Amino acid sequence: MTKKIALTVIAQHKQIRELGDAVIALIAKMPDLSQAETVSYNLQLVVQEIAANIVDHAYADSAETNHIKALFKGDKEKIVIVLTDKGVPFDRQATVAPDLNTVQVRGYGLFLAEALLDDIQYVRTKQGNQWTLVKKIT
Amino acid sequence: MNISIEESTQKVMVVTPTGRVDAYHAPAFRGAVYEVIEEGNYKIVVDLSGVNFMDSAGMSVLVTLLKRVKQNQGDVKLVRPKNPAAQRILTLTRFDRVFDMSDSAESAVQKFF
Repeated sequence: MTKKIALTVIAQHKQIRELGDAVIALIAKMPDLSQAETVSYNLQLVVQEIAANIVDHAYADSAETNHIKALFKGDKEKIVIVLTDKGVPFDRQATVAPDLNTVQVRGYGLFLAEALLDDIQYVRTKQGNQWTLVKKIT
Repeated sequence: MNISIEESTQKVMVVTPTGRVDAYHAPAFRGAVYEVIEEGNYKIVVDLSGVNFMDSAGMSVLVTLLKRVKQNQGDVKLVRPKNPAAQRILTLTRFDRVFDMSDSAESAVQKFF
């Protein structure tokens, strides 16, 4: 049976921890999940990285109170997290993958998301930006 | 997040954040380490053993710190987080190759001598 959690958070750094807490709550509903602690940590990290990018970039120039909508779903095979926002479009061309042979100040967020997930998709819809994060658990 | 700062032997400063070092707490972490640098301390140990969650914003503070102390012939040495998942992130990003890593603050401090 699919477990689901849906919530909307204010797009501020202080609030996006609630998305990480939702990951913990979802995994608590999946008692048979192996390596639950690692899966939980990695998904908390990924969801907070993407949400931080939404705060810092999608809503960077907005003075209004903005929101991030989130849907968390888990079943026997995978955990899927969908984040949506109404900010400016994500520009993949503007991102630079980190050079791992040296350290750099920026660029690790999306790198970590791609490294820790099995799939990550971004689409621009009429409603705004939509990120779909998939972690297989079988 | 809490941060403690202690002077060890011969001007090695040990900065110990605990709890979460994420995008919300990173500005306070950055402020604390900048204060250490501005006081003329360039040999710094950051003890991550009590950090249970760190994201790229926290890692960015470590990189900025390293770059600033290197400009002054200093160095930053890290104490590994105890959390295995947090350790894995440092491995994935190869921070464990760029930073000198130790298992305790004492051994990290000794590496300066």
